[in-house]
Amino acid sequence: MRRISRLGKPSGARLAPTARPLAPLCTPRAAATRPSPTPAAVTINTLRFYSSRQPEPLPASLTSGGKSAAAAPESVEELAAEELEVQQFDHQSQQRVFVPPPRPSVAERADTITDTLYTPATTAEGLESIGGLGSWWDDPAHWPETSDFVGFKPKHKVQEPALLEAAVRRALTETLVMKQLGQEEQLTGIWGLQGKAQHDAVLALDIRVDSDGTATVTGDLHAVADGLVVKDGEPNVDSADVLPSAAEALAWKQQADQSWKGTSLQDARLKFAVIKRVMQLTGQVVPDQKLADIATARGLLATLSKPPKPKTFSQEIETKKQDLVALPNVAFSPKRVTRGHKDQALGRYKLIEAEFRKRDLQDGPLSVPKSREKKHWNGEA
Amino acid sequence: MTIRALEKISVGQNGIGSFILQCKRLDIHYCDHSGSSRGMNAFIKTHLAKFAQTHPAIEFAVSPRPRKHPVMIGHYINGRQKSICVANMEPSQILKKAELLRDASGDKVKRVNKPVTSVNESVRGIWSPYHGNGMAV
Repeated sequence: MRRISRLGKPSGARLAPTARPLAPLCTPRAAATRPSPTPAAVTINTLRFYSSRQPEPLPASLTSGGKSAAAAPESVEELAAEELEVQQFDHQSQQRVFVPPPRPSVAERADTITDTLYTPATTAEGLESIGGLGSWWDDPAHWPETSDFVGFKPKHKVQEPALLEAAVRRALTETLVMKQLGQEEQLTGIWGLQGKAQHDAVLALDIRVDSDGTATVTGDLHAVADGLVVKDGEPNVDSADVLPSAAEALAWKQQADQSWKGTSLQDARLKFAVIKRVMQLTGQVVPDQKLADIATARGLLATLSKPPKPKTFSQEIETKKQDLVALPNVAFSPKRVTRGHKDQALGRYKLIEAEFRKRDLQDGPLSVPKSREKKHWNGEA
Repeated sequence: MTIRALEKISVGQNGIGSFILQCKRLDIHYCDHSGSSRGMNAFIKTHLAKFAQTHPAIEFAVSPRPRKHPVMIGHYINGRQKSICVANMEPSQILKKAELLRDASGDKVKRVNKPVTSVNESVRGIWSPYHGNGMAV
């Protein structure tokens, strides 16, 4: 099956010149399996393999001698230019991870051929079949697994409230730092993912919020800003390793000052940068229709930390329909009501148990399910 | 002095003086997953709270019955039960069925083919072969 080619590059990324994408664009495996000729070893054959913009040279029987002689000096320059192009192409193909198929070549039109001996074929019999990609994409060397699309948003979505709060606090701090340092153009760029040490360092910064919601960060701002710049050659950090564990986040939340939640997010650039960073850290996407309602960091937290959807209808009734469950004449049971429950309600259940025990018929309460009873009969634990 | 029984002035009838609802309890069963319970689940969510609030004399027992059709069972003070399967019904239809169970007396459904029914005794009394002059055959 032919697959659609995709680039392993974050979409919509506006990278700085020194920045590197999040995913490794060139893997050892891809480099090892793909033919990568050195500039000295580049031959005309390999040139034709990678670039076939020029029509293929026709057989000698179809070309006039004078024309080919005239084309010879031109083709040397072209070959030199193509050699350079191939080197660039090879460099690019190392940057990408999949190898694209060669460009299609176009045959000369029959009415433009000047050779008098040429006779156009009237049937397909005896003709060579050319064209098509063949099994190009079936070759794993052309299509390694590492060439799969790596998105900006991590696949795992963080749901724990304490972790979400820590991530929002970190995103807000980093955004405010960039703004305070005057690097406003970096607010829309890609920021690097550093380890937990950086996370703790960012959370250690103090945020003071004024009455109008304007926030000021104090501390070592430049260290934080340097950590956000993506550098070449850095190992790729998984977003799951960036945030602390849920227990650590909870411990931080309990002792942290909560005044930072009043920070205003009315500035659209600030709001965008915070939400973008939160998405990168947690995998949580804020729907477009809710963007306008978010005015503070507290509002953003409320949007992100919504309770999970109830699994069953019974759970939904228990959690959301308290007006029904709390009525004095309504008895709601989330589980099936059995005969045993009815006996319990009547006070008959303990009498039955006592009578069974007297006759040595039932060891243990009646509420033990039949399947476990069977196990006991068979002598199993 | 002879003892005389009190004369019966009137026959007790429900609704004259006081009204006692015959339906004492309504069991409401649903399934969490089955499609036939979709209407019942919507009824529980939207209509039941108001219905239960307006009928404090009825006890409502709501519980799931997995992998079964939704059912409403009315229990009556005469000891009888009346159950209705409400599979694939709309919430408004289920509300009608709940009202039907509420209004039912719990008696067996009897055929009524007389134009007038009365709880009052006949003015002429009940005929007895041992009273009166008898008939000459």
